[in-house]
Parts: sequence; structure tokens; C-alpha cells
Amino acid sequence: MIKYVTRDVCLGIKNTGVRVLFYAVIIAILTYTGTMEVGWLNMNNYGWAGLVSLKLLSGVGEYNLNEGILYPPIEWITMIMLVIYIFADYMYDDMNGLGVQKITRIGKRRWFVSKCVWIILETVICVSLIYLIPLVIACVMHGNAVPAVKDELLNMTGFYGMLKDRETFNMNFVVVPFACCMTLAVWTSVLGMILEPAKAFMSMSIYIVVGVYYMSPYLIGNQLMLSRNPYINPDGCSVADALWIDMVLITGGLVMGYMFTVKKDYIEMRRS
Amino acid sequence: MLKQEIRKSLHNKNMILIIVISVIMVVLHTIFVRNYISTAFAIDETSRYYAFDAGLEVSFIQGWIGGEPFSVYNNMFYYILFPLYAAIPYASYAKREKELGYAKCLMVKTGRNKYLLSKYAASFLAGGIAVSIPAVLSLMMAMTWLPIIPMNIVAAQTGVGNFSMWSYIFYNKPLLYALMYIGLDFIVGGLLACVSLSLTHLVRSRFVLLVLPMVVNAFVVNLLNYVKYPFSRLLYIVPYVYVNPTCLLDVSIYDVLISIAVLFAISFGLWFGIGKKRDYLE
Repeated sequence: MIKYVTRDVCLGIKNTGVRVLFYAVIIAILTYTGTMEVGWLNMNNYGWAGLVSLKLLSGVGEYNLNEGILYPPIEWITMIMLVIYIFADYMYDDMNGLGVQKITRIGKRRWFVSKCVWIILETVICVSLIYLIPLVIACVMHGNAVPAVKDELLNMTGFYGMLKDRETFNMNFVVVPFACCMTLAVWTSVLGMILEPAKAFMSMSIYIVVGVYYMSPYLIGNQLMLSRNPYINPDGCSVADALWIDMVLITGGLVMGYMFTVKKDYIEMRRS
Repeated sequence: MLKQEIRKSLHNKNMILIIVISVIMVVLHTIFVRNYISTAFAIDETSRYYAFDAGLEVSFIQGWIGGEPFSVYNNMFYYILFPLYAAIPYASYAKREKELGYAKCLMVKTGRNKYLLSKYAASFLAGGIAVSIPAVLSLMMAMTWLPIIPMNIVAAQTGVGNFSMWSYIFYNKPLLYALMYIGLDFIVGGLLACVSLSLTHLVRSRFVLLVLPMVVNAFVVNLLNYVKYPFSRLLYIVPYVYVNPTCLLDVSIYDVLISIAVLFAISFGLWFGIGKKRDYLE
């Protein structure tokens, strides 16, 4: 089993490595433009956690129709769409390529498990990049390499309190984004396998984008926006809710993917 | 050959999918606008941003998907996913035909130039139609229940201001304005589909060629938001910005023409430049 998992990891790096690099470059550019946007602030006060929280994971506050136009959080949307972009055709491509031979040799269950292992690893890499790249940029820009943020702007928006409280920081800042990205990765891969990658990409994009307009913990977009966590917005999605919903969704996605993999007639698929 | 390609581009399940999505989107959008107008009139607050709320009569042009910048349907579903809508119906078929070996059969039978030109024309048409369907349906839907009247110029009822492109037409002949924008979206959608088509020669995965124009579009908008003048002016030639009639930026017709020329040069250059040299029989 370990042999097949290792082979799948190598294959995953080969197939999606370029996209992860593209993703890293875009995260770097977004973070750097973030430092330009708030260039008048002292980077010493700003720090990497501030860059992440204000620029990448901030999103947008609650949308109220009566206040008029909502300017879409385009940075946030780009970042999340890139996560989906990385995973959408990973399983589908393998299933329509060498995957059939692998399934014949090692069995459907092992094939699916080895794919899931790579998805978990790649999600870890992608989420880590969201934190690592701003850390590097903060250090290069002579900023604060620790999540101690003293700036008044952050204080005003509530991020300061959130970042200062260690437990809230760990949960809202690290665990929830990881769980959300994991859910997105699993569902995108499974839907990509069932529908086709482009359709899966479109469905997942719509699912995420709806979350910008409607506040509900069941719309994952809300969980990924720091502006909508209960520390800042009392009506936001709590960590407990987010984790439960993510766990249920991940389990549902895995079961669906497994059932699809097990019941699919690969020989017929190959012929068609 | 062209006739056959056009038939293939319009009669396929992806086009049906786009039509179904468009119908759902337009119905939901109409329900949203209907609810919004009733709520706004019921509360009657005159201090809100737009005069959906100020007690003025609402024109059909405000209830159209391109005429209101409030909803998820305008900002996100339609204009962010615009390049994807354009690419889905037919852009990836050339890649599939190449993989299956059907492309070389066609090329041997009809000639390389004819094949390339037919594919380009069919993709352009399919992309244009795919992005126009939601706009046309939405306009027709709005015209069924909202009065066909011009806007009140002093009331600042919409985001179209003095410097907006075709603002004169907007305030005098709103229907013509909507049709002109649908025409513009048709051309840009068609060219974006051709950009996806031309990536057939460069990328391995069909998924990437469908999604890449959209990802690049979103990324360029992000990037250009933070650069300084004169580079910031490049933002105005990004399709995401100018295909939306309520983009709130003073895009000029020259920006649009430059953008169309760039899209045409990229798609035509890549598709014919590489396509003519590539050995399809290998």
C-alpha cells in the first residue's frame, strides 16, 4: 500500500506541481500588493499574521442590500478558485489515463485511498503556502515575523483581538481554513471525477461565491472569511459549527467518491 | 465544413447545459429584483444609494442582469464566470478531436486552412451565443414586467455616469444600450472562447484550457488594482471590467477596441500560427 501511495504522491507532484507553483506565485503577488496597499503603515506593527488576515483570508463583511453595491472580494475569490483549480481534474485525469491499469492491478479501494492521501498532502501544502509566503514577505520587508499585531487598524477591525488570543488564533486562523480547504479539495476532486473537471469547477465556484452574499455556515465561503468569524461578527460562523459541517461534508464527499469508484465499470468506460 | 462545425458547436450537451444554467440564473435574478424593489418601495427610505429606493419608477434597464450591480448574479455568477461560460460549449472539442485522431481525418479531407478556420469560426459563434443567452433572456424577462421607460438623468438611478461608455445612449435609448452591450459581450465572449481554443496547442489538459482564461482574468484584475498610473490604465482593457455595463469605471470605446484587438491577435495568432506548423499526422 505504501508503495502505491508513494507512487501516487510522485505522480501528483508531476501532474499538479506546476499549478501549485502558479498558486504560490499568485499568493506572493497578492501579499506583496497588500504591503503596497497599506504602505503607509509600519511593517513592524503589521507583521505576517496581519498580511494574511487583512489581505488573503479577510474576505468581506456581511453584505447588506440596503447599503448598495458590494464590491466582490476579488483577491479572496481568486485564492479560493485557485485551490479548486489545483484539484479539479486530478482524479479525473488519472481515471481516464493510467488509472484504469492501476485499478486493475491494485484494486479500486486502494486506488481511491492513495488518491485521498495525496489530496490531503496537497491541501496541507496549499494551506501552508497561505501562511509561509506572507511570513517570508514580512521578513523581507522588515516586518514582524510573529503574529503580534499592534496596529490601530487591526485593533479597530477586531483582528487584533483575534490574533492576540492564542486559542482563537489557532482555531480561526489555522484549523478552520485547513478544514475548509480540505472540504473544497475533496468535493472538487470527487465532483470532477463524476461530472467532469470544468463543470465541477463551475459548480464549486458558484457554491463558494454564493457564500459572499448569504451568511450561512453551510456555505463554506463564510467559514473561510476571517471577517465573518464570531470574534468580529457575532452572527458569523462559529468554529464548532464550521468544523462539524466540514467533517460531515468531507465524509459525504469521500463516501460519494468511494461509491462512484467502486461501482464504475472501467472496462466499459475504456471502450467508450 | 463550416456548416458542419457550426452545427456541432450549437447542438451539443454543453450548450444545453449553458442554456439550463442561464434559465435558472435569470429566473432567480428576476425573483431577486422583484423582491428587492418591493422591499425598497415598502420601506421608502430615500437616503439609500440607488433610486431603486427613492420612489422613482424603475425602468426595465435596472431589472436587467447587466443593469444592477447589487446581486450575486451580476457580479459573480455572470461576469466573473464569463470566460468559462464562453469556453464550455465548444472550445475543448478541438482538443478532444485531436486526441481521438478525428482532427487529422478532417484535415486530410478538407485541408488544413479550412479546418482551422472552421473551428475558429464555430468556437467564436458558440462562445458568443453562450455568453449572450443569459443577457438576452434577462432583458426579455425584465421587459415583461418592468416599464420600458428611459432613466431620470438627475436621479442617479444607476451606476452609469457622465464618463461611462455610451452613457448618452443609456439615458436616451436604454433598449439600444442594452442591445449594444449584448453585442459587445457576444464579440468578447466569442474571442475568449477562441483564446481557449488556441490553448489547445499549448496545454495538455482540457480542463486547463477551459479554465485558464478565467483564472488569468481574475488574477490580472487583482494585480492591476495596485499598480500605479499609467499601468493602472491597463485595468480598463481587461474583459472582466468592461463587459459589465455597470462596471463603475470610465472605460472608453478605445480601451474596448484595444482589448478586442489584443484578444483577436492572441487567439488568431496562436491558433493559426502553431496550427499551420504542427504535424497532426504524427
